[in-house]
Amino acid sequence: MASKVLIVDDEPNIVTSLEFLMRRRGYETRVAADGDLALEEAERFQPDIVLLDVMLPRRDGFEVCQQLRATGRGDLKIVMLTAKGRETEIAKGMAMGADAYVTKPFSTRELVDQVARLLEGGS
Amino acid sequence: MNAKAKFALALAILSLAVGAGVALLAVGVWSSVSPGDQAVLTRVLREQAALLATGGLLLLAGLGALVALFFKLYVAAPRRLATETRLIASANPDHRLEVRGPGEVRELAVAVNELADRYRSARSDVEGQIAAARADLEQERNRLAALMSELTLAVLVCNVEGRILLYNAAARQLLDRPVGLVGLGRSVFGIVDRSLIAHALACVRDGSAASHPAMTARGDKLLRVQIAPVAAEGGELAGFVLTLDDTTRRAEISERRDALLRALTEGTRASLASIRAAVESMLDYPEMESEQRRRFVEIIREEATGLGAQVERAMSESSGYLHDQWLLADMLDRELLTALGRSLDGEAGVRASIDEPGDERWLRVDSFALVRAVTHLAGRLHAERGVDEIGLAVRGVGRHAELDLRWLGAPLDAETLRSWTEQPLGPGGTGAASTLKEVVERHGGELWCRQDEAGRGAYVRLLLPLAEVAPGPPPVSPAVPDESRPEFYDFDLFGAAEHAPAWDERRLDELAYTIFDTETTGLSPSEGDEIISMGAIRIVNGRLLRQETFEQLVDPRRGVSAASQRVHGISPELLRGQPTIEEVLPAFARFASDTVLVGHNVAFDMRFLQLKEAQTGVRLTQPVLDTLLLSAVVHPDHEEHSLEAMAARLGVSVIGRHTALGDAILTGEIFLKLLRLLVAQGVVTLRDAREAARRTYQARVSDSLYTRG
Repeated sequence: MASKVLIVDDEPNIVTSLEFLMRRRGYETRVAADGDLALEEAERFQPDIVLLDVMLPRRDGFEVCQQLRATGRGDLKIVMLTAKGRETEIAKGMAMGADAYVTKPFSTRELVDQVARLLEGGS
Repeated sequence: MNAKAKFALALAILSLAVGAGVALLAVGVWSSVSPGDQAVLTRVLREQAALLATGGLLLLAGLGALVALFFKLYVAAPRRLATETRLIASANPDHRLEVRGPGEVRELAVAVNELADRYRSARSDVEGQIAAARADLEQERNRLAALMSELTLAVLVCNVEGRILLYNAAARQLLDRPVGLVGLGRSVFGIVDRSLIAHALACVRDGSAASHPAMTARGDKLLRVQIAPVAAEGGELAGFVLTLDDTTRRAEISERRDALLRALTEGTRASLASIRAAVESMLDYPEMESEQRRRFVEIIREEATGLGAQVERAMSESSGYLHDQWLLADMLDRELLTALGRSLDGEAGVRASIDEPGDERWLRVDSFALVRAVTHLAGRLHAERGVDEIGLAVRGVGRHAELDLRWLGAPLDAETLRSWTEQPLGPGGTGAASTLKEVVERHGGELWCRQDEAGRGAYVRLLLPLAEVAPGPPPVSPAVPDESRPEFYDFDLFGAAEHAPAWDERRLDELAYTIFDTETTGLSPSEGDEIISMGAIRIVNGRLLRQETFEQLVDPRRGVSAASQRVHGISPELLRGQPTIEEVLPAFARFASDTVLVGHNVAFDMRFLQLKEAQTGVRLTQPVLDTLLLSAVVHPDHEEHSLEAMAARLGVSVIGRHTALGDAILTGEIFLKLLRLLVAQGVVTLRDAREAARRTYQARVSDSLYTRG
């Protein structure tokens, strides 16, 4: 069965690319455009991995991450995406339970590889 | 009336008296003899005319010699005694009269010498008492001067006129460019704008604030000035204290931030233009060949990668100054914890227990804002979650420190924490107080809440920046030799006159002077001789300020004559690469601004300076006094007015002659002694001194102007 990827980002342009890339690798995808929708979709869709932007309307990525870790499946993988990329921010993301932290702009190939590794059980 | 005139007058009167006596006798004899005898007498007189005339002349010569001798013994000698006695009384108590001449004069000289001995011992007694009485005050002053000299902040103390009474080495280091601006008695308005000080003092007077901060630019430096008034006993303004520090680095940071912003906007625009052009070309011409299409795509990738790299570079370069470091300062972790603990106990009503950090760590924080923000958080925990005890700890992780607040109980959910961090700090939630979130952001930090590892408690963690491993060099505390400290202050200036009247009306003893000297390539300024060295020192409040000197060699851009080299010993090699007169003269003018110029045979030096007016644009317009002429005013009966002769007369020891500064210092010491003698002669104001000098000058031969004394 294909792995399920939840993409959480409020910028449609990057979402388009992310969706395209994930589908090309054969994953099933869903999209959420803010923090609240992300939690709802995660409940409904039960993804294997979440690509989670930090800067979101309503509830930021850190909060979503913390919430997912508190309530979601134990084997859920979370990759945080951010445009800020400060060292302290990365530290906070890891503290909130993210598995990986990717700074925008990123190489699409590296992101795809990263997702594949996490889904195979690596890090 | 001088001695020569008196002598001539005395001789004339005596001659007239003798002549009149002889004439009276002749008339008496003539009228008492018979006409016959008169004829005989006429004949005899006519025959003996030559003999009589010779006798008359001899008589006159004899009289003249007698008068001259008498004059020398009983008029000139007492005059000399009077001059020298005055010298003992006002300038050189060690001087003694020479005992010579007739008995009476010798007796007088011996008596004066005895009196001088008594005077000297009485004076030293009084001086001893004064010295003892002053010792305590002096100690206090030294303590203050020492304290100020240790401060890294520049401090200037001024009287109400803006004259500098006291300054420290830091002030000199920070502000004394060009050299000579910072000095006792100098106007502070040469350093800080007058209107800025007036404005600040007005603000202080109106409001409750004890001091007023302001910014000012000086040269390439941006200074933050703090102005505090000094009140006199009656409460009116007696002066003010300025503290200044250099905020140039802060300004630099904001400038670099601007540059970064520019690079980011302008630099990215170019790349974005390329991307957009490529994309729009592809969209508008879908039929383009695949090779062309591939090239456009390549362009897009290249530009996008370039943009990414550019942003990355900007981020790494700017990490040090992207956030406002205005108030961030280095603080030891232990001290931060202590401050937090105290504030939590006192303000938030929470018991704080501190985990002593293992090793020392320096944080870069705005401690005031941070303590306030964390106290606010603890206050919320106490009020809304009933937390009574909070553990505080700091750990270093990479380039950051983790500040943890731990308590027993459930962790805060993200929403609650977010709402707390966005609440305004401070009482009532009003005013300009920032929020915990802003405080964390200003530190470039982050904050979150988690359940602790054991599952029984929770913690809020703040990430804070650590101080750079090698912080900038600490401000150098300037070394001030102990023995030189006392000259850094002068409190008597507080009593200086309110507003300077016109130069001429001012008393000699309240004026400031710049005593200067020049060395030159030769003696003929109009024939191309040039200044090769200038030295100057100032006198303020009757004291020679040995720490505020001006000394500069000057490249004359020509050779130095062998004759003058023998005098000053300055070789042409020494002068190569030195600043030229165009640079030195303006600096000297600043050093001498607001003071009376003094020199020995100063017309010589002034002539050189005058010839440089057009070339340098410097015109020295202040009054000028000449020690040579003043010496002639004080000692009209002495012929010799060279520096050496004056020094010997006035009891000034001569060392270090024939350097510009050495001669200026010697001249200064002599000038101080002359000042006292002048005042004793009733020469009190600058006008008096200049008029007395002018009279002497007119009496002296004017074409000796350019020969040096």
